[in-house]
Amino acid sequence: MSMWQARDADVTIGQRSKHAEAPIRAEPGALVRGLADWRTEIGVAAGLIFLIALFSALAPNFATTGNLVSVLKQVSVTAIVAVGMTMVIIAGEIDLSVGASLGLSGTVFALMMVKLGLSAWLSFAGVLVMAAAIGGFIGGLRVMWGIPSFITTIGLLSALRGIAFWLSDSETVGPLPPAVGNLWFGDIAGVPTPIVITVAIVALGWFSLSETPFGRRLYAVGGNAVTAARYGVRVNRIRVLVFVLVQALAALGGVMLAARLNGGNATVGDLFELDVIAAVIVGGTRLSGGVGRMIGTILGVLFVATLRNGMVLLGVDPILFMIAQGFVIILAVWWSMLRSGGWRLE
Amino acid sequence: MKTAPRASLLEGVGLRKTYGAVDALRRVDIAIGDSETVALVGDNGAGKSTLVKILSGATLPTAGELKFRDSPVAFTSTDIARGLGIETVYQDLGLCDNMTVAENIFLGREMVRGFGPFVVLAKRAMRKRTAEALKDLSVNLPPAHASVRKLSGGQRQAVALARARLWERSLVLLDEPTAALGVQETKRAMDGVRRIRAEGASVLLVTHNMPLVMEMSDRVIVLRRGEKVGDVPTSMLRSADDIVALITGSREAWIEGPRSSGRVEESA
Repeated sequence: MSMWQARDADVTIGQRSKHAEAPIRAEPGALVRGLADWRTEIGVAAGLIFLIALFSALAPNFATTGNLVSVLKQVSVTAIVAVGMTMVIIAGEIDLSVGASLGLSGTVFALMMVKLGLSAWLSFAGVLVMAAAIGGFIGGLRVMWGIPSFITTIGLLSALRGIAFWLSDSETVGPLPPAVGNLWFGDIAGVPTPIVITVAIVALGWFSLSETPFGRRLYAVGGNAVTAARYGVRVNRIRVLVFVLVQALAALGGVMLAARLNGGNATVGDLFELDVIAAVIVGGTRLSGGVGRMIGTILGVLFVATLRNGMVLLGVDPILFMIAQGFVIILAVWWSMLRSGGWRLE
Repeated sequence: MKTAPRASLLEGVGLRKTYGAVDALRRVDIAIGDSETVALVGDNGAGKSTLVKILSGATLPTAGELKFRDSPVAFTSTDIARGLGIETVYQDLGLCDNMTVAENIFLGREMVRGFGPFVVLAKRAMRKRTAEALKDLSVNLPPAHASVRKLSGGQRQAVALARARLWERSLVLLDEPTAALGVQETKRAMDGVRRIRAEGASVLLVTHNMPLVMEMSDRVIVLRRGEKVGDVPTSMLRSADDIVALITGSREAWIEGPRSSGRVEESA
């Protein structure tokens, strides 16, 4: 009875009551419900298609295989770290130190090979151990003393960068053994190596987020940590794990960029954390935690990258790109907040 | 009338809990029999929540011991209680708003396919079992794939009850399940509780709703300022006023049978 009244009210006032018994109809609404669930992703995908159409028409060298490959290579490190950042943000945390980690891991990787004469694999393993330690540090402070990851990582943003400068005497460490260059310039079955690595990491990230118990529990930690703990979810373990993961991916990214530059440099990755977080947020992941998908993140990464690439090809002032990227983030968040059916604007 | 003797399911002997200088519970004995519905009542601050927390494994008692089917147990975490088939319906319902009905019902206990470390979620199987667990629990049943955020109060209650129904194998602890519900929704929720009880579960019902106590319970336990002052078969009560008298203290105490000493088998 009250349900009908509520529905009548919907019709007359044209506004949905939050307290009405939501009449969820099974079949006729299924498609609409599906579309509503994917609203953010559809919005970003539409925006991406629009950009591609626009730049294809305006910039003659945009819609070429060469340009596509170069965009995908440029965006590979952002995409790889964004996979980890999506998990961090879904867990309700943030990591602002990934840009500094990129610089530090590239520098340490180069130092281990050039100064210590270690092999590339051993150096890579060493960098991963360092990344795990950094992630463990952030996560440990979070779960043991409740120090917000925002604070810890804003500190590390400066501290890790400083360590990289100190270790390298502010100089580029190189050259690296020629084989290392294959990590960036080589290819696997005709596909450039950075693109292969990116696709593999994205696939793994998608799989663990949407097809495994770990993914489910990650959403629960970000959505309602108290409830998650009641049902046996190891909340603290997951919180530490996401920081270890994102730092390990940043280390991989740092090594890839060192291969590209043929050396380690402490300045690499400046403001990179903002690119990553922007792409993740544009893709529909919520800073408040508990909501987000890997497909959205990838669309967000591609959207921001396409915007940049098209504007460069059109000869637009890079300053304009900065302004555009800023407003795109605001626009994307506004769009996802407009979601119909039950999103509360608190 | 006499209550039939029941085998003891979960029993607490001399349970005590102190928070700093505050005695939340002072030497409380409680026994819940097989397939028995026990109502736990008392004023705010009488110790009901503390007792439920101890029985669900959310907190350890300062002193006293727990027995499950006459064997001593230590509920050092909610996992242990859940492992014995004890399910709790929390006052806040314990739902993650950002997840679907099926995801909530299987949170922490996901069904998987595969072997060893190579497992994937069995999403379809979980949705199917969710629909089964929800069956008959609400007039307006939410689909298994619906986001919990979009459900009404009654539907959320149905989801929490369905989870308890799916996983319980012995006892369901209901912590003020009707506090946030209207009259119709309360009635539906209690129909759901009856269904779970008919399937063989014991129930501990914490509530302020006296008609509900009279209607649902086999026995009533009354707490006042951390002490057990009432433990009476519901059939011996003339009216809800008897319970209110115990809650307010206008009647000092009424403890029937030897349950207070923990010897449940002799209850007759």
